[in-house]
Amino acid sequence: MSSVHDSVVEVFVARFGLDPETVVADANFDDLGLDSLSQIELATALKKRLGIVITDEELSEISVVGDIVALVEQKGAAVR
Amino acid sequence: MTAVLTGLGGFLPPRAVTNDGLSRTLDTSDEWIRTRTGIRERRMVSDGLSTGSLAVEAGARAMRSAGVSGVDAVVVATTSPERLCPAVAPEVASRLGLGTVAAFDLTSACSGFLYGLATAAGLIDSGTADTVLFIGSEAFTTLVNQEDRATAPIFGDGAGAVVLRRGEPDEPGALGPFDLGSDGALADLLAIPAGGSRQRSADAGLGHGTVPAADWYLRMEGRPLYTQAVERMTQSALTVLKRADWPVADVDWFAGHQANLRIVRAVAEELELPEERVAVNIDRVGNTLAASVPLLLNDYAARGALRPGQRVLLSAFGAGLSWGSTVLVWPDIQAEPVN
Repeated sequence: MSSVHDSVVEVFVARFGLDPETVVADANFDDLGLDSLSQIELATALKKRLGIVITDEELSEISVVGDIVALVEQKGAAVR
Repeated sequence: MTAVLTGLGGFLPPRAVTNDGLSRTLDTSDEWIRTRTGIRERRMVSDGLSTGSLAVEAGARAMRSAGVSGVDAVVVATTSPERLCPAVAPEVASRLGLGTVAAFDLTSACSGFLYGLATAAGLIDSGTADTVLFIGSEAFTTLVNQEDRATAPIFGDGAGAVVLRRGEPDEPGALGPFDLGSDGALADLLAIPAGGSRQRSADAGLGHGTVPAADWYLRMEGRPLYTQAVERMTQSALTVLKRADWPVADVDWFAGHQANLRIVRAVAEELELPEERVAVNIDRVGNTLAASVPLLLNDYAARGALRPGQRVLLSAFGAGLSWGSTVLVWPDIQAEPVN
């Protein structure tokens, strides 16, 4: 797993109090017991903790944890 | 001249409905509601109690708290009016034995308490009144579709009231600067479509039977509202803090509108206010719209958590969209526990 994956998992765990074992690449928000507001809460947490800004449009296309990791990798690369 | 808080009261209807109670008739559960909203139970009107009767009880308590038997004006903020016409405030004034004083209603949904405080303070500032009884009263569960699992668990009924008097800007209880705002372009995010002139005009001659049942109840788009609520309340709070020249670190209590625990916490997080300074009672009362902030203040004041001299930040956001904030140093007033 990439270090970006680990960072994203850490944000999930810190923000929602989840078991890190459950935050796997193909888990969706429902699987994790999260709802549509959780997506916005996650975006806020990613901005605060990783400095990554995810737009509402991008959020609406996210379905699984792996999508978020890919987006963060892409944005992290762009920042560098 | 400044308006000063001198009395506080609250009243809740006796019928308590727990999440388990709701899940008997609705496809939901205690866990589902608690994790998404922070609400455990709410009070709901029954047996003929409604906005007016709740307002009378809360108003009487606020006047008792202030030690007054009369006021110059009564203002009621409500989005669950007794009837489309007339306003309920004159009736409330009459039932409180206040005679023929100035009385009117004001509608600004969940920001109603902040808009109402500013309006009541304006009556005092302008010299129109020396004392004002201002009540936020809601029987809003009657306007929520109890078969809609997205909205039914959120709302509760109740009333909170304050008495304001003319005073000096530097005394405890003086209402600080206000920030008020609105965005009507987003009015449809939270609305009850039927019952008003728009629907009646469109349906002219067709009769009320043609209106879909759901149109008589609240419609809510939760996700965009969450984003707006957090952004607007945060900005509004920062605006009044700046106008009052209070650093965020000086705020002893953030008494924000109890819309959803996640919104209250997100705003506090944006403001960098620690959790122990964030007042919360949504778990017991749900979202009571214009009654929310005064019921919260009453709860904290009655059990001595909110003490004289503490600096309090008030902020609310709701349908309209509309929002508002103000600050005050808590005065030495007595508040009875709500029933």
